[in-house]
Amino acid sequence: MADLTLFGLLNTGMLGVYTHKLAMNVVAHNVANVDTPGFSRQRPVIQATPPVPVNTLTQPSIPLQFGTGSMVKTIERVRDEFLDVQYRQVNNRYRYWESVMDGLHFIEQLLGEPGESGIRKFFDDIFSGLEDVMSDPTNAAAKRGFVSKVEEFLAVFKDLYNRLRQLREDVDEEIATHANEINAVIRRIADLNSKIRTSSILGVSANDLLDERDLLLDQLSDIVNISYRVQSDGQILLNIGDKAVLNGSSYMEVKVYREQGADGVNILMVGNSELYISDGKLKALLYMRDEKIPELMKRFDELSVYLADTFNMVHRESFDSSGNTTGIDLFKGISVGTETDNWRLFRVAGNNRLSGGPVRYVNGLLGLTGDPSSHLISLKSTKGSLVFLDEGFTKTEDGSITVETGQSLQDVKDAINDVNKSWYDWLRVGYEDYEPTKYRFYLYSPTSFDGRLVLDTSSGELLSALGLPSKPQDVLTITSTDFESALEGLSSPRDFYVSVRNLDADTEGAATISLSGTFDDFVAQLSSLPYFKAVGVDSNGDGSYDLVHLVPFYRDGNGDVSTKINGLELHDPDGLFALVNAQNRTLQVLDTSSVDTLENVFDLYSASYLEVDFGSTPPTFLGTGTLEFTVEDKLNGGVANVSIDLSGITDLNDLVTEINDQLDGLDTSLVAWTDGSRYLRMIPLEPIDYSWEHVAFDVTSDPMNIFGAAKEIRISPSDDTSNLYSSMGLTYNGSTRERCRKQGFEFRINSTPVYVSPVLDDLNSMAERINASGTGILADVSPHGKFYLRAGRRSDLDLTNFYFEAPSEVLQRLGLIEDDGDRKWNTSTLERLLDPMWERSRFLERLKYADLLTISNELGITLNLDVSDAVSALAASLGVDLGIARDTNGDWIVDSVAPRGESNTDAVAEYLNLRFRRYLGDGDESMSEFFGAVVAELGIEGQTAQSMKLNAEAMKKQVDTERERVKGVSLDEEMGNMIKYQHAFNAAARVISAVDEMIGRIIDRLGVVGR
Amino acid sequence: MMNDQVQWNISRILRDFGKLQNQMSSGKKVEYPSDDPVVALRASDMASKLRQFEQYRRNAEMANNYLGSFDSAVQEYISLLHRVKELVVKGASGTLSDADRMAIVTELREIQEHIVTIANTQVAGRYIFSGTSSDVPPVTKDENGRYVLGLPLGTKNLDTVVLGQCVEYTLTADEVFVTQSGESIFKAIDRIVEHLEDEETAGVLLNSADIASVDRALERALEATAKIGGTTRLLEYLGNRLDDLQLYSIEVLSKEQDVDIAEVVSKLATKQAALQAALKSAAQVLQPTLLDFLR
Repeated sequence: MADLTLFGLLNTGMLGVYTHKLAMNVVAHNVANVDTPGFSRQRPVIQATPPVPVNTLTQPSIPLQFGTGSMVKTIERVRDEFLDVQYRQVNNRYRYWESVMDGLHFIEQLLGEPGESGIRKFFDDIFSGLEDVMSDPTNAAAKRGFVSKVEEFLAVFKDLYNRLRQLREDVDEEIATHANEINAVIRRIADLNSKIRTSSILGVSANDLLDERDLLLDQLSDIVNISYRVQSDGQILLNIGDKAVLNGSSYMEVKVYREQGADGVNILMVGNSELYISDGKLKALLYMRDEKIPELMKRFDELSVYLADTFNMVHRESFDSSGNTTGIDLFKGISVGTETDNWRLFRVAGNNRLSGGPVRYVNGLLGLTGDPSSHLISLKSTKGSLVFLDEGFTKTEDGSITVETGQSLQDVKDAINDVNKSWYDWLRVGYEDYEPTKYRFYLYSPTSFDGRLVLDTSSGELLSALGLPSKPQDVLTITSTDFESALEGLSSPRDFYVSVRNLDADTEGAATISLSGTFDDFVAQLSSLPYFKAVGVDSNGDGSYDLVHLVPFYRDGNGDVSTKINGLELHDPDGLFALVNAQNRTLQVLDTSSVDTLENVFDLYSASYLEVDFGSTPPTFLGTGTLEFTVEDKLNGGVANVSIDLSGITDLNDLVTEINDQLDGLDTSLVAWTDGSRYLRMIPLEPIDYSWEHVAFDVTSDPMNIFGAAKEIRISPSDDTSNLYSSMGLTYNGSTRERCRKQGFEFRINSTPVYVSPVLDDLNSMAERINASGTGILADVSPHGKFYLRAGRRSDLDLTNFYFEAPSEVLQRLGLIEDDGDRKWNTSTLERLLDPMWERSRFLERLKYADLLTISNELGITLNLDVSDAVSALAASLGVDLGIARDTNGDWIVDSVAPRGESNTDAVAEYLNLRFRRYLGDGDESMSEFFGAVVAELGIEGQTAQSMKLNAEAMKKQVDTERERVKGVSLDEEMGNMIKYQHAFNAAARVISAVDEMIGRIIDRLGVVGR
Repeated sequence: MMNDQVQWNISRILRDFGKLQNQMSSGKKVEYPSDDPVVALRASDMASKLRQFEQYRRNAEMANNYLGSFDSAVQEYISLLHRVKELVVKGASGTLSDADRMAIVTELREIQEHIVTIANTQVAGRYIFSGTSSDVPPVTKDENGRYVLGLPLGTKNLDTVVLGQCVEYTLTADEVFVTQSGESIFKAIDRIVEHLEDEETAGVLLNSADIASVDRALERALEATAKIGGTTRLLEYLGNRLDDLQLYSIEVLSKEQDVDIAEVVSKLATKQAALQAALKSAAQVLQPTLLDFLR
């Protein structure tokens, strides 16, 4: 009967020895690798060998299950795969923020803010240099200083820019290096995969190979975000970013493809498509290279472009201090040609400088509601007076009105309008609705206020009560009291010789004035004083003058009317003015010098007609002959010949009937009208826009001198047109200009409408309205009235990204498109100036009359920015004086500029203002705030990166510790195991020796009986 | 495992230690914008403002220098006017001999020359009484050899900016040498001289008109000194204000970004203690393993 043999038992003991030798080997391996990175602790899995069923002697029927010993079934790796995934994700984040922080910190250091040597100091220095020029305008050293400071700033700024660019290139290199690193890892993993597969086919756990692969995956998680899946054969599938790169032992490498062009960067590809990465160090590098650094460079370019263009805008319109250079740039290097399509349209400027033209409308009180006759005037003193002075008037024609407290606005209007005095030719007053519920009180001059003076003899009270703008006017004043005491001091009346020299025109005039009689006589005599107007004032209302103002009123060297007292020099050899105690006083006059509302600038005056004024002697119609004239409609091209046999005509009414009969049905739109005695008017009606300038009127035969004998023929513009027309029995449909003036017009930018009221807005406020609309187009007006449109940050400094529409006439007046010569205002259809759908060439064609600035569409504009050669070579040619811009022909377009003087620094003041205008960031940021904003943004981003980094670091540490706790080798544990295994080994050995003894017993001691 | 933990702890303490060390040596709490963006921006703005203040100070100093030369010029002019008045009064007495009157005339002519020199005072090649037309002398001789005062049209006073306020710091000749009634002092002296030279009229006219015009000229000159005084006071006030603001700004700037030494020192001490404790405990924790106790 079989039984477990002793030799079998020996084998069981030997298995115990063998098993624990193996276990001890694992302990030794663990201890040996205690410092090996990536190593995970191994553990022998000890199992009992299968038992053997044996029928024993004692129990032959039921076999016993005899144990046969132990064996090491496998050696296990102690590792938590979940913690590996956790670790790699957290590590991704950590590496990302760490690299972002590093990059931002580098840029921070470049800026050197806050500190005494940062970029901002150099920028500030430019403006303190300007202030030096302003306080000491003729000092060439101050100008040189300013130019050097600009050059210094540019050098520092460009250096900064270059460093950014260099940083970007370095980052780009690093990206390529990391791609190679990734490839090395992928190759290694592929190799490991195949080895692991072999082991797993053999059913062996390849612990150390797995450890190595896990370490490689950890390394990858430093660089990019990865995901992987372990297959049944132990191999992994690996994704990097959004691409699968490895399957078993086949893999695709990450390829580095270099873009064309100077600013080309390395692009990472897998197969034929671009690799997108969402985390890890590489993502941080890509973020720096593709977003942060280019964004900063773009902002620097934005500053450069705006700095150059706005300074140039002022500089071009200014004179240097010797008064002979103008039209040059301060900065160069910004613009690029348009030969290729690689340009952005940064700026469009109109070619018309609109300023200094004739003022026809002056706003008084605004926002009025209710009846004008219920709007009462309130003055501090009981009454106020206005005196109207006109160069063309003889002294006696100068008129005046007096208004008392409690009189209404209507009374003022009537007082000014309802007079048959000569000032009515140039001054009228009206009300007009400019908004549906509000009306304004305004002054209107059919010709212009130029050379006319509205003087307030009550120190500006009445002007301000009427809401009219005023400015101080120096006059010489003599009171009747002083006159009388001087008269008393004289023993007998005497003649005084007085001469006045017009310094500017270099002419002189003289008068002899006798000190005698009454003060009124004296005032009358003063009227003969050249270059002055004597305005007598009766302030106490007793019927005679109480004082007299001598108002300077003359033409200066340029032929302009001047009222400056220091342009005249009084020569008073007999001492008259000292004797009568003439005092220099300051009164207020109507200020039309700064009135530039669009109704003036755009020349929106109302209809006009030809008026023949026969005065008090109406023409007599005797005799015969033929009156012939031709009328041409210059706008629509119709011509009419009128021929009237005068023999049948007896008076103006007959004549008008006959003219209208003949014109009726002919191809013109002219109507004749008369009041029957004094006036004959020829009035254009639509479609000639009610304006005489669209009519050619040519008298070919006028035997009875109807047009020639008239006292005066004038082209008479009119206000309050509808009333006037209805009083003539004509229908007035409203001229398009007048409609535009009252109702305003719209710009349309993208789809945003921007409403402009010509009554209230001037060029500057029109630009402000455009800016306030937040469309990203920034409008600006140069000192001399040139209209600028610039592209903001959001549109990438490119105007071709915008729709821009405006009434055609507006674009023409601003000089953005060619003036077609007709002045028909059509505000209901808009004309397109910019359209993003257009080809590049179409923009050039469309804007060929405008002044364009095209810039490169690549980064690096800043690097080309420089001080222009002219100024750099000769700092004295720096423009400091804006000069005087003048419109001589009355169309508001500047046609002459003259320097003001070597110490005039209004251009410098303008440069200083540029610093605070909100040009940058689509109108949110001024140049002075620019670097502060950059510093703040970088700081906030850096701070975020810093705290995110610390956060991720702590988390990473936590996960790592946990992972280490599981997989790491603990010497204590190993020592414990070592002792355990050693004891087991010893015990198993002892079993063998016991069995050995048992066998010895049987062999050596049994069977001695027969010996 | 514990080893890593210990190392990490120690390196964290060392990093904080380094930061404090940095603050200590640079004296600044905020070295980079990312340390504290708000303070950094404020510090940067404040530094920019301080540079502006520095420029204002320079502007004010320059204006002050100018005012000094105006003041002495006008003072001299006033003393000359007093002498003119004395001479006119003397000349009007009527009891003078021809020789006496001619002596007065000679002196008046000399004084007139002197006033012309004052009006045409140049500082660094610029006519100070010419305002913005500083290349043009305010007083010239006309074809008859008489002095004429005339500045080009549009001549304004020079101004500079101090603390955002525009300060006019010049006086034009019109404001000083022309009387209220629009007559220049040169014309007035011409007239007085004419009267003195003319035996018949001398007495009468000198009594009334001539003395009056010298008085008017004096009034005007005194007004000019008042204006100089006013501007000087304004500059002084702005200067004081500038001092205050500058001091205040520096103080704020320092409060914002400068290190509080006491605080940093105490923080350093705390960190040092922490470091030592960490090192000590590390030494104890890392030493023993089971190995040490095996025989």
